[in-house]
Amino acid sequence: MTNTLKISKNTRETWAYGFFGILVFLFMWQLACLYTNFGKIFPTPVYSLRAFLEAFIKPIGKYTLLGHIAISLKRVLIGYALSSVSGILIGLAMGHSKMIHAIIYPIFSIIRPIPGIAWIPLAILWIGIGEPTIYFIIFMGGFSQMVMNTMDGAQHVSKELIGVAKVLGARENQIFRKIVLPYCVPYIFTGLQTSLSTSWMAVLAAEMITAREGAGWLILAGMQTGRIENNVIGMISIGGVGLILASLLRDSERRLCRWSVRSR
Amino acid sequence: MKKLLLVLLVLAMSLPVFAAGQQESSSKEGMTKLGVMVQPYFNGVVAMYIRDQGWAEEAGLDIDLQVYSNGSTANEALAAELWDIGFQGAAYVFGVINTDAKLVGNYEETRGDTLFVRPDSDILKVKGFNPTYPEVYGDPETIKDKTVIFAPGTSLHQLLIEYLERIGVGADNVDKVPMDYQTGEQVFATGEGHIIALPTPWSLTVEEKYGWKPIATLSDFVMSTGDLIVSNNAYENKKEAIKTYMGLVYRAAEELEADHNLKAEMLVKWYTENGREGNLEAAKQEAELRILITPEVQKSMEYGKPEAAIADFYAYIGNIEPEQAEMFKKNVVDDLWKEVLAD
Amino acid sequence: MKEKTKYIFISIASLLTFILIWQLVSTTGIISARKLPDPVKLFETFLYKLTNKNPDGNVLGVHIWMSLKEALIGFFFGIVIGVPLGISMAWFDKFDKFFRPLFDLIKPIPPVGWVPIMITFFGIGIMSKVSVIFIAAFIPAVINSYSGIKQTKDVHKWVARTFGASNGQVLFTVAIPSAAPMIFTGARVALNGSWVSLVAAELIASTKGLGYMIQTARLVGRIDVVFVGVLVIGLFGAAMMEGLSFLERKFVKGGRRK
Repeated sequence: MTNTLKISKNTRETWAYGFFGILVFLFMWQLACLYTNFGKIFPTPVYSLRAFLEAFIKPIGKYTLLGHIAISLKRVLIGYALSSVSGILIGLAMGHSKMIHAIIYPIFSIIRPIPGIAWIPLAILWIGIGEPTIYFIIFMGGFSQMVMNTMDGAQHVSKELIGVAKVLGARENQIFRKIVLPYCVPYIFTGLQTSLSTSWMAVLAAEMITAREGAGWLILAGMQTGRIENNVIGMISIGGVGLILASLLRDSERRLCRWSVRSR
Repeated sequence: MKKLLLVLLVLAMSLPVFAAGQQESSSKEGMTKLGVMVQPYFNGVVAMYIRDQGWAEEAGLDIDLQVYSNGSTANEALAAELWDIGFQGAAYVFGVINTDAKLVGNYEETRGDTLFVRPDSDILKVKGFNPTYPEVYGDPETIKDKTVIFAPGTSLHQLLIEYLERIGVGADNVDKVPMDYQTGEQVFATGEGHIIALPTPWSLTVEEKYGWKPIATLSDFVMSTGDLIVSNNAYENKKEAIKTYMGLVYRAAEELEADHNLKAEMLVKWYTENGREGNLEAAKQEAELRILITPEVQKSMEYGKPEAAIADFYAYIGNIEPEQAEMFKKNVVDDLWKEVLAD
Repeated sequence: MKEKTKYIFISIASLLTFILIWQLVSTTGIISARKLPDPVKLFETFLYKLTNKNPDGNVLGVHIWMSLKEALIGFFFGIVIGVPLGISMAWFDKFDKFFRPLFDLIKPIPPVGWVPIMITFFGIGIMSKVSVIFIAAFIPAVINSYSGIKQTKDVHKWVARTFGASNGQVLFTVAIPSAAPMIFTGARVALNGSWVSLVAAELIASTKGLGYMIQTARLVGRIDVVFVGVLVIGLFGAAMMEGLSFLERKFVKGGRRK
């Protein structure tokens, strides 16, 4: 009983402080607009918020804000699904077999630090300018995170456990299925989480190509056409949707792997 | 339960993969497919007009209008063989030398590229330093060590270099900061930089908006054109379709030049379509200033001269090699527009 | 030890095979050189860029130096500000509640999105680029030091308190040392982030740097120079990550191996 009471008081406090924090931020934004060069080109928070709300009903370019977000979301989910599946497979292979690790790792470690934007010219040449190129850029955004995390998991499987299983006569694929795979699940989830947020961040770079819609496009179009409020709207939506995606995934992890220590 | 959830999650994630495969656009029966490249600026208005009038379908062309936000992506798409014909300014040089594309005709005479300073700038104190250009402001003393904001690889870049040459200042004696037009305007408005180079429609609004003063325009020094660029493949294999489309371009130019109000309205429509605020007043000025090339103008102008000048310019600043400039000049061909305008 | 040499040998062989296949694919014309320049050509371009300023106005060394400078300054400030902030957020409840929602909202915004804002704030000098990189480094630094401190075992804290340690002593002698491996992971992610956001930061208003070199090469259609730029970014990024892992192995006790 006392526990629940404490929590509700705590949540109220959390909300109050969080609200206060954002309020201070908006106030500083307003001050910056009023008293610095910033205000010459940047809209005030009040104006931006109004534009943001308006964007739900008034289309920008071809769609309303929800339409733009839905399009970006679709692109991200496709790229993310592809990078998750291939990232988990390659990560498991690299973590489990030293041979595969030795073969792939050098090339992987050079590809890993190459940013999404730098892939754009190459992707246009190889794939073209359609939606698949956008998926590719998003794919590259999430892929290396997925591989790194899964590999980490597979490399940290306790050697004793595998040893015991071997002594008891388990076959190679049994060890993989019953020990390595379950052990990796929390790591894979961490990977799924970070790669979802990096995939979502990659949408901006991806929509630089030739897109004429999407949340990332809003930012770019805002930059290119001087309607900075669109830029702000794009940033708020990318921030907000990113936040929602991250908490959704955290929630599903909590449900799916209760046994893991990580998911408290 | 857990397994079921996992399976569902995986299914949900992989669903979009299957959905993605179904949106291939089908080409229409019996029509020649033509990829047309434009940018969300002035150069797109003709292509939009042709699309809106439905002329291409009548002529048996299936047009895929592709809008590229900058010259880099447009050129990369050319290298990837994604479009056949494009409307392009100075950046056509790179497309031609890298992919053996051809310039086949003009669609506009580019005007309105302007250098601006803020009203309190000391550059405004000196006028006509070079007697050949009495309307141009600035001298070596006032220009030296200034910071210039401009978009590299465009006719604005050419404007800047031509200007510095006329004033007698080495290109290394100013601080050159590359930036796209819009960001440039914003940054310049916050007090950064001393000189900014802007094309239309920006150059038509900033004087009123911020009080910036023009010190020189590109048409003071050289003539610059927008050209129709055709991929090597289309030039070899789709000649008839290209010629048909070029005919439509000249037809659109004639209609739009005959009625500048219509031209301005079309500009507003094109800009709005691409997410920019369409300002009818600025569009009217732009319509007056930037001239579309009608058949008469095309026949009377010195075709190939402005193109050669810009190639020499790129070779001069080191973007391309001198022998590439020579190769470029060979790829500026006049056979197509002569055939189109012969009838 | 012998096994280790074997795997190193395999790695080298794999890289060489990769390059060889690439070379074959290009020279036999399966993929045209316009879309994929072959390794030999890229090596020539690399040598050419070492001494030649065309087409972007500076030699390769100048670009690399500029990019390293921007990335490392941004990284440095990201760590110096991010780690203490993360620690205080984890340790002081009110601090956490105050900053958390704001931080969560800013976290998913990609560095490219900040570019126009930073330019209006910091102008067109190096600071605008550094600040974009700063954000990319700052966020993982905060997250990791935060969760590092949060994962301090309660038992350890209780023991320290039982022996009469003050709140500050518990923080500095128990929580921070036990969070060190996580903080180091954060530093690695931050370094990766600052290097990855480099091209974005140099997208606007740059005259030097690898990102600028790639941009200019794109404009003039020098796909070979684009490739060289991208590969240099990849190689330097890989080298920096390995370097930091090495430092971590040396200095952090109980740190994770990778």
